[in-house]
Amino acid sequence: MRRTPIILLAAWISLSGFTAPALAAAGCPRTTEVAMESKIMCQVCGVPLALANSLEADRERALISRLVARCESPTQIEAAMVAEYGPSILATPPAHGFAITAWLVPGIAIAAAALGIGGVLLSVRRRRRDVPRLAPVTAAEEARLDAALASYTRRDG
Amino acid sequence: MRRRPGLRGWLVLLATTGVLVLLGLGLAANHPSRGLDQAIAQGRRALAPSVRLPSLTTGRTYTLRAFRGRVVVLNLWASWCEPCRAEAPLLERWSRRIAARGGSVVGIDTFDTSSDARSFIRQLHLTYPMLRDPSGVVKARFGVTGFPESFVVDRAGRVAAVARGPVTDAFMRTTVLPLLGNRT
Repeated sequence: MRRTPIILLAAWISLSGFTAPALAAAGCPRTTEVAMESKIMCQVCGVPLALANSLEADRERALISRLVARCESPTQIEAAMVAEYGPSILATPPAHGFAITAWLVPGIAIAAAALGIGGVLLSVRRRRRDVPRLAPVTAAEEARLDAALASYTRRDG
Repeated sequence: MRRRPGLRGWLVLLATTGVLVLLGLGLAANHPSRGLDQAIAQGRRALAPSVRLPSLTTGRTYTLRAFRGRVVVLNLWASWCEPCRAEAPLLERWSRRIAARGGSVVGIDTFDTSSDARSFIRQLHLTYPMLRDPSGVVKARFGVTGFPESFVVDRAGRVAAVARGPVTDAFMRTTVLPLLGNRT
């Protein structure tokens, strides 16, 4: 009768001795709830789960926790969430439909900005090139300048 | 004399128009439609948006069109929504009450985990058809902003009444019962 707890304890120690290294070797858990919360949206709130505070968000968190505990990878968890809620659950927008604008618009905006800056720089350079060159100073002008400077120097002295 | 815009002017105009179009599309995509409410307020019945969803319990696909000829109370709910839990027994009672008179209650579970939704159905002993809309496609079409919301669809497939919030006995009596008597 008294042996039963000892046998159970020995079985638990030996089992944990086998399973713990196996889980560690598999890298389990392969992600954390916190890491996944930035990749998954709260559908009702329209913000990433990390920022969400709602009953629906709590249900999503519970599902993610179960998947993390099952040792699923981030990709597998994302796939499971998409299977459960549809593609809109992902924080990263899909590359099709209207959502493709989320990918295209920044690229187009950067290209337009680069074109605009390039255009402005080119026009400034062209304007500088178009400025007429001054005629060289003649000997008479130099003599007049010297005389003016000399008169200023005399007045100040 | 007016100067015609040059290439740069056209490019700026094009870019501005593009940004405005994108902003408009984004706003339209995220702004809930109130067309059904407006139609009802004007005494009209707008045709119900199409619904084609899988069943939450059987895997069979249902369409709203298949219910043409019946009065349908389309109820959007989620298992995490407490008012939905409070409302469900009333819908179950009404589902049994109107079935023989050509009425159906159809639940649409939205933004929910299927296992949680199935537990909800089991716990509350709900027997009316339950469809699954995990990404909220129907929610957007009907302009749903919260849960629960219900839409009473007449025998011709037009939306006759909307409940933005839980339905009550009074709502069902005043909106559903008159439609059941109307066979046209």
